[in-house]
Amino acid sequence: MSHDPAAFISLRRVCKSYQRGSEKIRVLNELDLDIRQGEFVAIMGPSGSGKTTLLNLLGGLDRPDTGTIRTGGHELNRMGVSALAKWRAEHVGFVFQSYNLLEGLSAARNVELPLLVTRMSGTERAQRVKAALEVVGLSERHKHKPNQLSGGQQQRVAIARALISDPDVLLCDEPTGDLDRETANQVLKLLHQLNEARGKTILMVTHDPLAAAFANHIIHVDKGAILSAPHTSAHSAAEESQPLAASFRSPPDPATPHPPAFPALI
Amino acid sequence: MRYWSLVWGSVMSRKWAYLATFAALVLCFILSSYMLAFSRAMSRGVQLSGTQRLVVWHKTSIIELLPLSYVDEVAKLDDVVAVTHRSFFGGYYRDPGNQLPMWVVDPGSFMRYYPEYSFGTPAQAADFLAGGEAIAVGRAAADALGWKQGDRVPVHSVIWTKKDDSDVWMFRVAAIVDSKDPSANTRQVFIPYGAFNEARAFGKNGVGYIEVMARSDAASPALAKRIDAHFESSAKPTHTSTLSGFLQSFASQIGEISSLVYSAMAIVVVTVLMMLVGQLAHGFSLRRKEFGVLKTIGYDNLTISGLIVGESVALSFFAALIGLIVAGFSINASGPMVAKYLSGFYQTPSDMAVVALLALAMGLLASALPVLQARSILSALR
Repeated sequence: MSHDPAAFISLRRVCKSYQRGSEKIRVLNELDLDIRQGEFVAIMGPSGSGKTTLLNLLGGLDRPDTGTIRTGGHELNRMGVSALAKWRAEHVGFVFQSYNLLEGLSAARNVELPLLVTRMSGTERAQRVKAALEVVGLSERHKHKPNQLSGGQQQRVAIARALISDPDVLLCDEPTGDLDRETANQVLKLLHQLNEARGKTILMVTHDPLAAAFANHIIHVDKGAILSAPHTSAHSAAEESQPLAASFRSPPDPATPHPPAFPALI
Repeated sequence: MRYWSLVWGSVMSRKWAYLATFAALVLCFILSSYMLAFSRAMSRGVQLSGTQRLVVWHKTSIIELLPLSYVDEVAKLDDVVAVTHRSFFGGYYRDPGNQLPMWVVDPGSFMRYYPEYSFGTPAQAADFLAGGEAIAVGRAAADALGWKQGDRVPVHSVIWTKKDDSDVWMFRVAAIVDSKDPSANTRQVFIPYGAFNEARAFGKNGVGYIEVMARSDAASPALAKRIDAHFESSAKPTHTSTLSGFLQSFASQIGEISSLVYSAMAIVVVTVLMMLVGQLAHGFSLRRKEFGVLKTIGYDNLTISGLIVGESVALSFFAALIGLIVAGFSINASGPMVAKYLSGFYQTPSDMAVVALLALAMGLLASALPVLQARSILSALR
């Protein structure tokens, strides 16, 4: 497959296997993928198809057996554990299905967590936390503990935590899997807004076609390979799915102004 | 300190579990402190059993008096370093139930024989040394009786009457006796021999028993035999026993009991410690997901390991601190009372250091497995 020179994220011939007892299971098989900056991509597929493994590789949480993964000029497969941790702190935000907030901490303290490993002062951290909670509409609830918040509010806190370091990429693993439809739509609209207005590149694993409809592009993964996309989302109806939806050529809407840096933005 | 809110938040989210573990840790460290003090006291008892201090009394019975002249004779024997004597006064203050050990002693030789005791200021010590009505009162005895330096106190004796048939002896508290050795028994009263000997109605120039300091432990058995041999053909033959013959068998019994009790306590402490280590480690295991989340947002292995080890060691150290303070107060408070039966029962800086090392080892041990578990992000997130 030809390389997309404009690709922000690029995977080439990526293989990943896991050992289960005596059996070696290949989860990803010679996978190629290009994603441009500012795209909102939904990754769909049946359970065990390899979509979460793909997300983990993209976030530097796991390493490929073979192949290369480049993100924003960083070749992840060549980076050490500490370098990957630093890279995650600066460039990636994670949003999980079960929110994964720390129960003993307030919303503000949860959001602040990624900044503790930086050299940022307490005052600056507090300003950033305040701004991030405003973005997700929860500034009034900054003192609430997770068990004092609804599921949707907890997921918005998790999104604020993912945003706090002003990352290039948001990786979302079933972010609406535990939410009712109305709340899920609110969270998806928030992600869509972050993509549209702030230019965040978002990759979202989901089982839910209605959630996928919020993305610009949908890729289907099955048996460790990327299959053709059967349809495009409602927000990118004009675009045509590719026979092998491994490469996306649709740049962000030029009418959307490119977002300024994070602190100024929020 | 920037991670304080994170650590404190984690602790507070499981506060009851933490509190239970913390309380158990504190109790465990108190028990450890007691075990160390007990162990030293017991080993010290065994050491004392081999001491060079000998006691000479009447061969027939300890209530029979020995002649005062024996003291000088014993002092002239080879391998004798110091000699003093004492007699039981059998005294009580006001209430017959208010009895304390009161001894009639020769102040000069007694002070040389027991250099671990201090007798107040030089003037007060000289006052006691001068004899007469001046008595020296142990600190614990003074506290118990409510006496202070300068008080004049009437003391009854259940044994000794004066020539006028009175059993009331008037004394003046010349000095309060203290000791640098916290295990020393200061619940005693010391009465000068001279005036007492002149005033008593009977038993003049007699002493209860003679205390002899041998040159060395090794010299004790032979000296004891020599003393008894020296007085064998006299009107009042002696029996020198104490801490060689009699106490050798006592020592071995004490040694066995000590070893048994110490082993039982050690097993209990180690078992409890291992359970607590397991409990702490389990607590961290329950937080694997938390560590996984922290790693996804950029915390590296070193930071996570530091948080786990820091929290574990801090918890353990804090519990050890409280345990040491509580144990210190209770051991040192009960020390004087226990000292009557078990000398050396007190807390030392080395005991504290041992408990601190124990706390460090526990903290490290409890965090070792969680640190290894936290290295795998994906398993933590599952």
